[in-house]
Amino acid sequence: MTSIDGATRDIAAEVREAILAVYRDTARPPRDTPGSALLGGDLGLDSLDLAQIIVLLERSLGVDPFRDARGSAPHPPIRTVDHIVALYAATLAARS
Amino acid sequence: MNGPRSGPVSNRGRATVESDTPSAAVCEVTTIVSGGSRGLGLAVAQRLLERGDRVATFSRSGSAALVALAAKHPGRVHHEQLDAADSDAVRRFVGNTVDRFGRVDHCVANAAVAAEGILATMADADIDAMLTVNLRGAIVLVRECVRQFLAQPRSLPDADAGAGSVVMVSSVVAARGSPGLAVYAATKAGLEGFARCLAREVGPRGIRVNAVAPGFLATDLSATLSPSDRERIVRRTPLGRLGDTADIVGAIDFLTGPGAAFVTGQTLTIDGGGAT
Repeated sequence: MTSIDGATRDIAAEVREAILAVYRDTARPPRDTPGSALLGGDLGLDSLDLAQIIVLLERSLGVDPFRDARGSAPHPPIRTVDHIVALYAATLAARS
Repeated sequence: MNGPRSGPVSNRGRATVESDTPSAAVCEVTTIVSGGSRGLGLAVAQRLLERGDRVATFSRSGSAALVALAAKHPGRVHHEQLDAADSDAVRRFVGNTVDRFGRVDHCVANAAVAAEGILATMADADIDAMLTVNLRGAIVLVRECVRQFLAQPRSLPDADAGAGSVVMVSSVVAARGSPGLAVYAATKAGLEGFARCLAREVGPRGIRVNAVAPGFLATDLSATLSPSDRERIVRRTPLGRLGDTADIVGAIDFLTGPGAAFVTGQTLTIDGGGAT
């Protein structure tokens, strides 16, 4: 992401906090989470980790893009931290 | 066989809370038991309350027995009247449980309906009701509980209890078969496969998933058996009797307790050896 507004910056902070919470919960050492970091390759996160991140983000951001996507087109692949941030930004924008 | 015998479900979303003083201490174990107003679900709720859990349960209708149980354990029972087929209501129920008790530690997916009859003449409505309540409803409930397990701190009063557990209430007919119960058995067999897969999926988080498969119980569920059928089942059972609700409750108590901390992905058949 080259330009982000305040709302997106808040979302990015929540995403990073959720990733760190997963590391803590699974007793893994935390890693840096730049936006371009690959969830699997760079951050060592698997699908269950991603599910936990999504659950935690539902608590903090109030939406779950996957649960709320009933009947709509499938989401693009989520491979990086920025992909997560963009998905939540789009979901929240669509709600407002 | 286990599960209340009733027709297709219909009523939706009428919430009632049958216990009084709300309290939200976050360190006590909370167990969700679906279908807790009568039968096995009520007996499970009673046992878990006696061991110190808080119990949240829902059912399509209330019962005097559940009201009495809630009165005996003030502030420790949460009940809502809802239809297990209503996913949004089940989702809200789990949220309401967390709001009230602070967390969810165990889930006993017990709610079920059963319509007997040979498949060739079974109505679509009966098939749909069993698939929707017994299978889809249980899956949705467990999904919501697993989401809560993933979101909440792992620390429990008894650390050996782990990060959450699920018990699916299946039936011995899932493995053995029984005429007139093909669809019911299909839903229960589905739950057992679900439990095995989910156990592998969430095991890395310490979440355990098991199933119990009761045989014929000496309750109203088997009251419809003819004396000769009843005698035949008892004769084929090594332990020489029909099962009792307490037999199943004990197994669920075990599977949701610290003694089962290393048990997951299993189906525990409780039928006096009849299935062997």
